[in-house]
Amino acid sequence: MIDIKNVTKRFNGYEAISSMDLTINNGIVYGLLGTNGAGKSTLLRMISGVIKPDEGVILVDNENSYDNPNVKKKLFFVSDDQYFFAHSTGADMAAYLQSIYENFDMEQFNKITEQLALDKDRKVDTFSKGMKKQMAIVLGLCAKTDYLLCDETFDGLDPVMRQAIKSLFAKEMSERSFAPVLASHNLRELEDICDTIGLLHKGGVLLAKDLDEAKCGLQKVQVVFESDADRERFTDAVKIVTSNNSGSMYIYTVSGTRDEIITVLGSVNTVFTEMLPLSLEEIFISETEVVGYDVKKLILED
Amino acid sequence: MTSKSSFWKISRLNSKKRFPFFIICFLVCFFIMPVITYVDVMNAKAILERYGPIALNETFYNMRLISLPPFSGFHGILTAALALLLAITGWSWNNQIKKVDFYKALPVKESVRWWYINLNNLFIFMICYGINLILSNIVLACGGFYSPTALKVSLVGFLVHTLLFIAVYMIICIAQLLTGNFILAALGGCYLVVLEPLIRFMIYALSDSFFKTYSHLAYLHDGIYILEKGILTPIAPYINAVGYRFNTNKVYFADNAGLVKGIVILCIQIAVYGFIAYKLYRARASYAGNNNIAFGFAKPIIKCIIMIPAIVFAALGFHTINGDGDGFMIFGFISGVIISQILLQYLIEGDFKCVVKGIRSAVVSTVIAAVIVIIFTADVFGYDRYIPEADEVESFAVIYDSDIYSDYLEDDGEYVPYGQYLMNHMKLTDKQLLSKLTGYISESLSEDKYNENNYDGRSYGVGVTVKYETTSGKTITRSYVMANGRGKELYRDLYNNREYVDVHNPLKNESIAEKLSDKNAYISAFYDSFVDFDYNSVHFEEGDILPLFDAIQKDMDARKADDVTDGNMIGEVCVYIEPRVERYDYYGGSYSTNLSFAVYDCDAYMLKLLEKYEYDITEPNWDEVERFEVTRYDYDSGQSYSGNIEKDDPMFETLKGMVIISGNYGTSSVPNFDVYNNDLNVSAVSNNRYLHFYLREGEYPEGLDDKLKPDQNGLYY
Repeated sequence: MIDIKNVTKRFNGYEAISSMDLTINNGIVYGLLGTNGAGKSTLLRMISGVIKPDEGVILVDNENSYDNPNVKKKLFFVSDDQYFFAHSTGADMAAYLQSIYENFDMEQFNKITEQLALDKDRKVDTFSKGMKKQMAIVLGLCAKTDYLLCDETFDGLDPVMRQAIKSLFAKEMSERSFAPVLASHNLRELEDICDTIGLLHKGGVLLAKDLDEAKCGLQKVQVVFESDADRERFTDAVKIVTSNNSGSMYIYTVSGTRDEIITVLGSVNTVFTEMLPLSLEEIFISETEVVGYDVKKLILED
Repeated sequence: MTSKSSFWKISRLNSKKRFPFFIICFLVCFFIMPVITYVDVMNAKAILERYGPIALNETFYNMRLISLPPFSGFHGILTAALALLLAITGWSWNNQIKKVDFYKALPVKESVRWWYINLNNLFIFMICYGINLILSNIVLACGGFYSPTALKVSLVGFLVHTLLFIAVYMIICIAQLLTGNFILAALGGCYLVVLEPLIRFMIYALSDSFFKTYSHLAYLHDGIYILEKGILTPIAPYINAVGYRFNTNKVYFADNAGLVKGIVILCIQIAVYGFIAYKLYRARASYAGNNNIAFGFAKPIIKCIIMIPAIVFAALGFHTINGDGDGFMIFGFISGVIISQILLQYLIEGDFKCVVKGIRSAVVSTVIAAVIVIIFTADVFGYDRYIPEADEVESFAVIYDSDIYSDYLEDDGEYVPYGQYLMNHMKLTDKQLLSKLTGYISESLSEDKYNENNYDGRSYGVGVTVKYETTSGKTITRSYVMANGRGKELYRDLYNNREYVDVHNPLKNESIAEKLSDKNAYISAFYDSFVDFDYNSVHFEEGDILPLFDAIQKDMDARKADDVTDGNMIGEVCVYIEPRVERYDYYGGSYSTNLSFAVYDCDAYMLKLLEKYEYDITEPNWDEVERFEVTRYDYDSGQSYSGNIEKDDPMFETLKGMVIISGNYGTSSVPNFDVYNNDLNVSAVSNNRYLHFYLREGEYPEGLDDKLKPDQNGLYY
């Protein structure tokens, strides 16, 4: 578990992270979401021990990570601008990391690079941006650390590759204690991968939510009522988060469990009802509206 | 993975990455050490073949060995260059965030990383240098130039150069960690390495420019030894450790005291600079590579360190360019402020928009630079007014400008300017003489204008340098320009002091006396007349060498002050001592000793000795003179006049008579107190050979002026 307690980090007087508290549990894919400058990279650098917090403490499995090789062995950091030695190949990097990380799995490295059609004997300098990201993630996975910290690493990866990486994560998580922490400024990059999302804004955590839990508490329903009176009875009975209508067709996002909403719908006269799937975006819109933010501006406008 | 195994593992990985730099360093060392040694050995062998077999002994071998390139001072430059290369490349990853992210996220302790990077670089240097030093020694041995001393010199050299490497390396590391890109790191590192000598140079350049009594001999001394003084940068302790001298271009590790002291200072520097560099490394932010200067607090400090000397040198430069003009100096000062502010702000901030920022540090630098310049221009601390009290002087030395021009063999075998030799050896203690000296100085400071001629309206001044050794252990050196008459009076007083006369006598110098008594040495002597065209014509026979020294000694003992100040120097005896074993020095440099003894017209013993050679030393052979070439400089108008007086001109005989009567021969080897601005310069010419005389103003023959024509360029040469 990564425990961030009251952490503050300033750069030349600017507070990049401000009294942040956050907990990242093992065995999940954690998404750190936030605009540029929200503090994602700074937070990942502090977790990985690259920089030291000015205040507060970051504990990885109850140990401070800064300048602590024992903790750093459990972490692998893939920065947004991945570094590979000049003129090196993927195999060279793997050999180097194998010497550093005791559990580095060279066999797995060879296997995954083959699966992803990454030429491990080709100079990384000649790779495309996306291929470099893939290579960095593969190296991180094969280092067999407990935590894989990826800064904007998934941004720009094509859906097929994202799915492949997601599968790799799932496999790793099923086999051992492993928790990827993925930072992105775009919600859509994370929604199909992460289990939990922490929304960072201006150096603080706006909200942190388990997606399943969040989805359970919100429902999206499409309904045509027989009369206005039925519609009013329905809206009185539930907590409406958002509502839209096209003629007599209403689409509501409402708080409550699926069963609760179905029960209420059963008590009013409707012509047509349908429970719709809820996107992560809608969950966040609803959640952040509660605290007075327009999430569209924060994480959706690229 | 234990920390120890981690260290070696990571160290090995780093070594692999650094392999290209190992190759570069090795090749540089290879070409500078064994290859040049081979070339030099070949040259040495060729010279030996040319001169045939000679009696070789260990001294000869050692001299050859020490002279050969593996032990030359050039190694210091090579070592510093490798330190620069390895420090910059070893730590430049700090300038790129992605590299910092990569390396610092690895499970390696920062202290371990510090050590493995530095040790790797040190090993690269030691291996490259060491292997090539061994190769150089093998080349020497194969060439027949080897002795047990070679191993000793190699090992000591290896140690000293390794320490020099670490000290320079740590300074470059500081520069690297303070800055955000490798160009600034390299420039900054070089600047830090030379900062102390630069400040010394600045102080002595300011002293030389603004202090009227700043000593030319001190200038010479500072000029030569400016790099040898100081403890803050590795240059001085290194030079002291290797016993390097600029006039020999050799490293000979001869001075054990300097060696030990140099090693100790280098070790202290390594500890201090290493500590600072480590602290900077730990404190440096991961994103610092985004900025030209990594630490905000360091910006004003760095700026001031560079800006202050820049302003002072700009002021000095313009002051010098315009013939010591104050207006130009102020212009230079202001230009220095503006230009250095713009350039430094750009370098520090990396943005031209920031050139008007950092005003506070610019103001501080300007004020400090102004204070420094004012201290020297206004002589705030009374440097030029210094005259010691008699009881604060332990001993003193007085050197005339005419003493400083020739080189002289010091006791340690080094050639130094004669004035320097006198400063080192003259220790006058006569309080009465000191009192007279300070009296003359006081009068000169209050009456004689420097670089002008107001003592009697038209005389040149005589340059006199005085070195005071005070009772508190200080050495204070000042130079004065005394009017001719005053300089002459002082010289009389000095010449009546036996200590003063003896120190000028080479025969009283122990090392020279030893060389003269060396039976293996080859000694030759000849007489060079200043009053005859047939100079160099008298080569003393071998049997006359000892009587010659006897005559010189007797004449020197017999001379009175007036003989020297009012008499004429009519020639000199030149003596050449050459140790036979050293005569094949293929460097062209000489281990021989050259001596010069002045001969005055009062020197009866010498005149007697020269009689044997039927040599009339008192007068030129006038039959040989084809013409007189005459020049006169009109001091008031600045116009020079010249003309030739041919033998058939009636003026020829008149002029001849007057130069004979005046007996004023134009010599410069002794203080000349009788040369005036408006004197007439007369050269007797015979077959392109010249004898120089001068006639004082008022002693010109009538009608001579009519025969002189104004020179077109108006300048007197």
